[in-house]
Amino acid sequence: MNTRNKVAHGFGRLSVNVTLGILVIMWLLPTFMLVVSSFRPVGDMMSSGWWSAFMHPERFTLGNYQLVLTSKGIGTSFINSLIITIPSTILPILLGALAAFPLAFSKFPGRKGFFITLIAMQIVPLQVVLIPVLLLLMGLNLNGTFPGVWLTHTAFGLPLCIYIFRNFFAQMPYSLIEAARIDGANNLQIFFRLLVPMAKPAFASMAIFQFLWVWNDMLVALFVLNNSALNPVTVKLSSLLGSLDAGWEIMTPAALLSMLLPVTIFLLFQKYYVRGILAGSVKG
Amino acid sequence: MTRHKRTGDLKPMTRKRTGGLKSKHLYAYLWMAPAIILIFFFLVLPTFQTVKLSLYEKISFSEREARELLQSELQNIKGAEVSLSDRIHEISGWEQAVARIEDQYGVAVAYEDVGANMTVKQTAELLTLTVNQALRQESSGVGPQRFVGLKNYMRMVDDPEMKVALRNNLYWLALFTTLTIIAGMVIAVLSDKVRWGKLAKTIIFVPMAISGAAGGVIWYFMYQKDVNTGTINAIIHLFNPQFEGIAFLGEANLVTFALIAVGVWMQVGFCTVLFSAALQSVPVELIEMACIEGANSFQIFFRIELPYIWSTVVLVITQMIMWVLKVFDIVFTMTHGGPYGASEVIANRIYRTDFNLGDFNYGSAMAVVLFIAIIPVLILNIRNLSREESIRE
Repeated sequence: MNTRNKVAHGFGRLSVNVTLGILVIMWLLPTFMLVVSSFRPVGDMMSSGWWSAFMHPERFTLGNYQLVLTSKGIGTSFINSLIITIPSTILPILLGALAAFPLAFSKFPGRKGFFITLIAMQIVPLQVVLIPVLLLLMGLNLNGTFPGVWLTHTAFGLPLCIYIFRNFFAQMPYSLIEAARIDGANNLQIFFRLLVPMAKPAFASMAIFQFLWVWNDMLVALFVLNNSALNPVTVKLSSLLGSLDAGWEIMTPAALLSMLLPVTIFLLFQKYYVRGILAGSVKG
Repeated sequence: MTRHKRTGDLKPMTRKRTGGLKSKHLYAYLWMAPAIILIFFFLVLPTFQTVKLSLYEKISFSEREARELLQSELQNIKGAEVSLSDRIHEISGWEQAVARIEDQYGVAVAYEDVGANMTVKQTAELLTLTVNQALRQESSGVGPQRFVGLKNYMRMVDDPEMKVALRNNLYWLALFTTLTIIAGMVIAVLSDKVRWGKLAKTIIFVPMAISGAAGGVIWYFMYQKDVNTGTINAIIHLFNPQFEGIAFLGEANLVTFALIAVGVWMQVGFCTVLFSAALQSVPVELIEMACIEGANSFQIFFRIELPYIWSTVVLVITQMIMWVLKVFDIVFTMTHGGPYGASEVIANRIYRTDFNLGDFNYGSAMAVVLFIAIIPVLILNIRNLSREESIRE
């Protein structure tokens, strides 16, 4: 790091700071705009820019937030998002880790084929599979229900989860597992007592990855849920904006609140999230 | 839950495992079973089903069709014009005409159902009803289908909206990919050189954690036409007081570029993180050596760092291409493809075809085209990953 820092000095260092500063402001500005606007009365929002709000700090209000949680079913959509996201995060991680164990440690026939399928399925665009998935769920009477969405997200999340866990397990010292076997531990014991505690970083990465992905998802919700009473906050925001059904006094705090949870989780566990990204793939 | 039941079954087997190979593998399949089942039924099989759907067409037997069909059949038999208000029993050989239509669709109407005082029109109505009922019984879920080969693909060639969508996807592909790669690289390199680099990267990365819907709301507000409220227009107004504001999302020529900017804002963080990690892996000795030999920052970047991290650059480019081909949330939230379809992209067309038009077959054909566009990237990725795999073993 220090050597790298030495590369820029004097005038170079100043221009680097200024350029990066401008870029950072550009990236921060839209979110900052949203934060400021969400605390302004709607009359002000429609007549003057958010930057002029600081001239009348006494006009800032919490009124928009009181309004948003009680109107247009936005409060419900937040609860829906949670109901959708929590099982859709836990299930693929659990089933993925379970499947990754034999994939990492046993040489069973069909292993290679399964692995290639996993890689291929990470890249298949969801648009390609969503209609047959919808038809399948219709056949099971699960379309437009939470369990239907849980199953869909679990299935879509599995290839990446298995892939990441398998790679993580495969890096673990095999001698440790051998030793546990000699001590008489069975596979289940090895999995739960040895691997799960050691693979905590991988679990953290995948949990954050999957949580953010499902929380921010709109496509799966639109295709297989498509039920206005159960819609998550992404679909709600989108339909409010599309129909111009709600004013900016509702849109701005609703958008900000929808960002609060993922951004907080992201900032708290950034290390694990980045590790998940670096581990290789991005899902379709 | 079922999982406990399954693990219960497993115990005696894993104990036996020390002996034979077979039971050892059995445990592997059992542990993988839930994942295999879900992946098969929600990903593998649907991929093939979509290809199949794209080769079929929904059959809808309209009343108009039934009327025309019945009239022409009756005409053939009678040898003269048949009016819809004619009583069907007065036309000799009407049974044959009805029977021929029935044969064509494999249905049966009891002749007693065709009453003596029914007109040709009413008979056609009865036939429509019967044929549609029969078709619905045969198929499940998607409705009656007929194999049409590549017809749905041919439709795309003549579909003006699809042409706009393809053109816009190409704009996205060219501009979005270039901009995210360049901006991502610039930010990664610059933040490597300042003390607050980590903070800068975090700030630029944050939009990745928010949904396309929330990002859409933010930028919808940023793009407001009024120079007093719309941030972007206000900034332009600052430099040019005569400026009266542009409706970025309302101008057919501008809207796609406005949406691409939102996409770049959201995705640059991804490129930055990967590039930044790759840059950290460049051996310090290499850079030190170049420094001693008098190389400047640009030379170090283009001659040493960039070639060193090239495989990461390729990886990021493929990820961006895959992202951009599927871009949906931003377009769906901000414009729904408008104004007048000017900002359409393939993914949005697929959604609209499936749900607004209810045409799963045409939508599936579009999805297959999307898939085909991604296949080269897919092959590249599989190759890379299986190469890594063989190195590891």
